[in-house]
Amino acid sequence: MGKIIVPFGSQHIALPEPISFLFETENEIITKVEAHIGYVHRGIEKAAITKFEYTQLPYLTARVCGLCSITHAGAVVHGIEKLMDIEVNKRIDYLRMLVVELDRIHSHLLANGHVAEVVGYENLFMQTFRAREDVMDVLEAITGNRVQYDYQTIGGVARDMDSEIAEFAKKKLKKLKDNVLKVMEFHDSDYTFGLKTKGIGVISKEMAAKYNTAGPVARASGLDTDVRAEFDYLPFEEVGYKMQLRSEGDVWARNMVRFDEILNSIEMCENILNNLPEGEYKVKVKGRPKGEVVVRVEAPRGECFYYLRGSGKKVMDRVRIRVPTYANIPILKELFLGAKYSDAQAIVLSFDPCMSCTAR
Amino acid sequence: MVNPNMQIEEVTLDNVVDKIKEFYDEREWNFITINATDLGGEIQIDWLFSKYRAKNIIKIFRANVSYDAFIPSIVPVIPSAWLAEWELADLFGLDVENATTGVFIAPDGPKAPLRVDTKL
Repeated sequence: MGKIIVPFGSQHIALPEPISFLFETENEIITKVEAHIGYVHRGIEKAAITKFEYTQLPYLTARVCGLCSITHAGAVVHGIEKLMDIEVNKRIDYLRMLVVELDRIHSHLLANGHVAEVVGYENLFMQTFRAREDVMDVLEAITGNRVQYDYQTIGGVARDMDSEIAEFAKKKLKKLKDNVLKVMEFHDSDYTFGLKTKGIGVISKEMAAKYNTAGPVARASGLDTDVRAEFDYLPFEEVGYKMQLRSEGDVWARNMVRFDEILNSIEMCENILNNLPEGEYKVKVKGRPKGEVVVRVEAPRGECFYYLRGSGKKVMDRVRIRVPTYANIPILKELFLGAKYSDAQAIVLSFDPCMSCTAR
Repeated sequence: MVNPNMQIEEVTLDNVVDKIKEFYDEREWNFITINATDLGGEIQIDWLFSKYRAKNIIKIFRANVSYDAFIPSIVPVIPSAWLAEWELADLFGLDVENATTGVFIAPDGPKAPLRVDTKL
């Protein structure tokens, strides 16, 4: 049989966001790949140096992504605070860590739900998303919003958390943990689910390192990298952070490492809620950002990198954003080569791609 | 003020590939990205790396180049670098070795939008 060109995206049933691959296939096996990723370029980096003052950047960068808006705002806040020599207290750090980890939980559940959906498990997708509702409720109670939180601000957080919300969060997290364990058990042990995900889209540890893979995709291949362990921006180790690794490197392992991280994040959130330090939720902010700084934070999908440069003016000179999906596109492209076309959907979704972030 | 975590090494476009080749070990270093900053009249290019299993270590190779400079590709050393290189071509209008344009911005979109003199 000759070669067949199969377009995958930009609109495809498996893709939550627009990315396009052009597969050249021979007998269902992908032999060549072309990637197109610029469908939703929104010019946020340009807007950050022309239209918005530095105090508005947390709100602007939160719009890079609906799912990990907390991460983007947190990165820019951390960078600006560093440029302005602003020290925040431990309560602020802990509140920030709490929302960052809650954000990771809901993002991971969304990703795993999508994988379940594309391998044909509609019901498992719904069960996973139902479990996710509890963490969405907690985020809404703490920040006031379900999606665009705008919680981290320069010098603090947007609002404090009282004991009533803390108790509500603890109850919800307990329920969430029970539900996550049930869903995880199914992902882990179901025979047919295993047939669709085990041994599919395998990335070895060496390949992960060669292509500078980020986040759960790297850790599912045994590459021990996690910005929470490599960059001091919040005290994760104080509240029980442990790096989660798997070695199989396939679609299944990427799902399972996300479940492992959800359980670790729940534990961290519980520790934060039980040991929340006293203090103000905002500190005074003076001056303007001057100099240059790099910031790395661990978004749910992996390393999110910011470069900020200011010259003491209200508007920054440069805001560079490099998101984890961007880092994972080169390995994704390589991974398709030799894969069956029928596995392409599961492979893509197991990366939890965010094109909104990539074409920021 | 420069962030104390950044170890910056000045390079030129003639020696950057060799410098990175000499430095880079994929088991020890994570290639983060390539960043460009328009300084007005010239562009600062940073090749950025972080160290695995270490805290707060960022290594930067930095070159200041003219708008019409030819940027050599580091893909032979770091296969994943093509994406960052192609982005330099699309968003800064730089002449980057082997770069395909029109990937980040549609072919009929604005040219070099991240240059300071490009008004949108």
